[in-house]
Amino acid sequence: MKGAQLLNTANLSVGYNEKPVFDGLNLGLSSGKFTCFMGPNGIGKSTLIRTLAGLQKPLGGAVSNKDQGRHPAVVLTDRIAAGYMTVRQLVTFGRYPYLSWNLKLGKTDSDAIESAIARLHLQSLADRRLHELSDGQIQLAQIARVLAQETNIILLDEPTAHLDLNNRLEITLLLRQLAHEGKAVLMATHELDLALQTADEVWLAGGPKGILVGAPEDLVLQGAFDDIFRLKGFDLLTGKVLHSTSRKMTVAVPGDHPAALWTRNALERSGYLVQTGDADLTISLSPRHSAGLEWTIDGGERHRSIESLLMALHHLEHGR
Amino acid sequence: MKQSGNKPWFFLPFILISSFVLNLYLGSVHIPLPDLAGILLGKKPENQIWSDIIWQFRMTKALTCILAGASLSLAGLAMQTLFRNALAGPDVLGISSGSSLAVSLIIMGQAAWLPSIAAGPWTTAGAASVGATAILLVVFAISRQLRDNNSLLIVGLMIGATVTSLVSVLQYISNADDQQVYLIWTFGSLGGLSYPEIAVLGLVLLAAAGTLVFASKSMNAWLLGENYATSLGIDPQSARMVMILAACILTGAVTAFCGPIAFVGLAVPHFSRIIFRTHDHLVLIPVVVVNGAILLLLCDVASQLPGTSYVLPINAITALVGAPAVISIIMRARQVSL
Repeated sequence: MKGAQLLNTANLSVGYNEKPVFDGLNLGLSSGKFTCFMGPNGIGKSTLIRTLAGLQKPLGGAVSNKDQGRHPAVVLTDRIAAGYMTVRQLVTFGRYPYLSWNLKLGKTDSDAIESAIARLHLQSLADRRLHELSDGQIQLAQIARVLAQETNIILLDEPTAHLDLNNRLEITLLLRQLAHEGKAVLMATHELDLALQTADEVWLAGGPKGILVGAPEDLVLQGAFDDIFRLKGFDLLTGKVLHSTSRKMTVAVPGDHPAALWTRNALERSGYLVQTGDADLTISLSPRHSAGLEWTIDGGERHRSIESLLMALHHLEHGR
Repeated sequence: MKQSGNKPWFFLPFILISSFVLNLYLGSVHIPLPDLAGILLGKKPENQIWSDIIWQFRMTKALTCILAGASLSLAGLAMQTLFRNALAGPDVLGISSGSSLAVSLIIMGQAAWLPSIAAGPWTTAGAASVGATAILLVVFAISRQLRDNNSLLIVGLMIGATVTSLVSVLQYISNADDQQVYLIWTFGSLGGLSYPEIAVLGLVLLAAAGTLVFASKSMNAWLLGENYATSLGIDPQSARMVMILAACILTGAVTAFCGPIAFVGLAVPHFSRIIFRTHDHLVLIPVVVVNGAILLLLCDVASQLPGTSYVLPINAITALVGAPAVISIIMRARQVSL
């Protein structure tokens, strides 16, 4: 089944009140693929996601869903009104498509709920009520609900928005893993770095040509991200922030030890031009016998922290 | 508040039965409890009038309390879920005002050169239901455009104000007798219903409660918002229609027979959620029905001013007794949630 197209659009036009935000879209989501949907704020990502999920009528064209007539499982940005609901009850909503009016849970249902809770490490929060939880925790519960829904298509609108760094990474990796297990996953996100490192495919909105689709690396090399986000001071080809060099000295820090990397980072941040070959100064690193590191400037002065190193360089520059 | 498991379930039927008996027992004529029990079991009491008092007056009033309290509370629950707003209720969104306008047109319409309609209980009932439905449809049509609950509430309050001022104009130009008939209707009254009328209220409640129990799944999902509900396989159009119709028919029927009884519909659902701490309509619907019945039975007891022969209008009592109780419960729970 992997690679099979589960959702596709034919000449789809979406928007509100006859005003399309996207026109003539021919997109597809396939089993086994983790797709990140990127674009500036207000471009219409949420509108497209709702239309793909069948929650909003398209202005033209069609969405065809090949997941046995099931609505895709969604995480939207809508807030939940019910504060007395517990996390487990929220996850239980994932089973609603399979339950009859009396909401009686069978063994399959309970198993799906408990394994979804476990997969998001929510066991300790399972009986807490939503009004006691943070937005990030509710977001995790929503993702557990999506897992319990067991659909083949999952659409998420900025699911990592309220999460801390660890959870952002973990959720993104979890979604990618779900995709690689055979689901089709689409995640709208503003996390450029995460998307570039995890997505199998990127949908990029905001350019003149509607939505660009491609492998993240291809889009980077085509300069598509730079065009759309008008990235300033950030070099996407190297993945680094550009610093203007304001100092007169050039410095070399040989080595590929992580400490050398971070030293170069500190120097660039402070405005020094860091060179690989000949430079005005050379800083060498040596691990000290006890703990910690030692920085040596031109084989002379020794320093035990980057902060003190930067201070010394500053004095050197102005002492000249 | 600690999680109290199933305990509240245990107490509710007791409280309901005691309130019912208390309501039958208290009144301007003292009837001893053993005789009351005897009359209820069909025995001949030593005083024949007692039997008439119980069966013709107190029983109809107590049954009306139960049905009206349950119906209004259920209507309030349906509306709070429909709008996903803790402030929604039959009297807040102008629904009761719609009934009032329709009834005022029946009672005082001649002054506005409308054809006169015989103001019997059935025409009043029909008019009140139609009025409630008309206003709710207007509020709902506007809500589709707004997509925002707070604007909707303000619009609802404005519609209520407009309708109320129409009624004032009508009152101003109509004659004193009609004015008084209308004014007395607005005080609310739980007595004076015949058994056939009580049967109508009972059927309406039974039908609406039954429908809502079957719609519990949709109502639960509705709490997540229309988008999530749809993605979980709920048909939003039919879910919305069920909640609107239930709320309108319940409010309309009670307002028709008993007048515009304020407050109960807003308060009881909160009351019930705070005690049971659940969002699940399969639990909330029966609980709200029983709590609504209890609240109105007790309010009616209080309106008799025990020890005197005065009876205050029920509308004054529901808020006078109920509002401080609800305020204290909300203060203790610190917050209100759906």
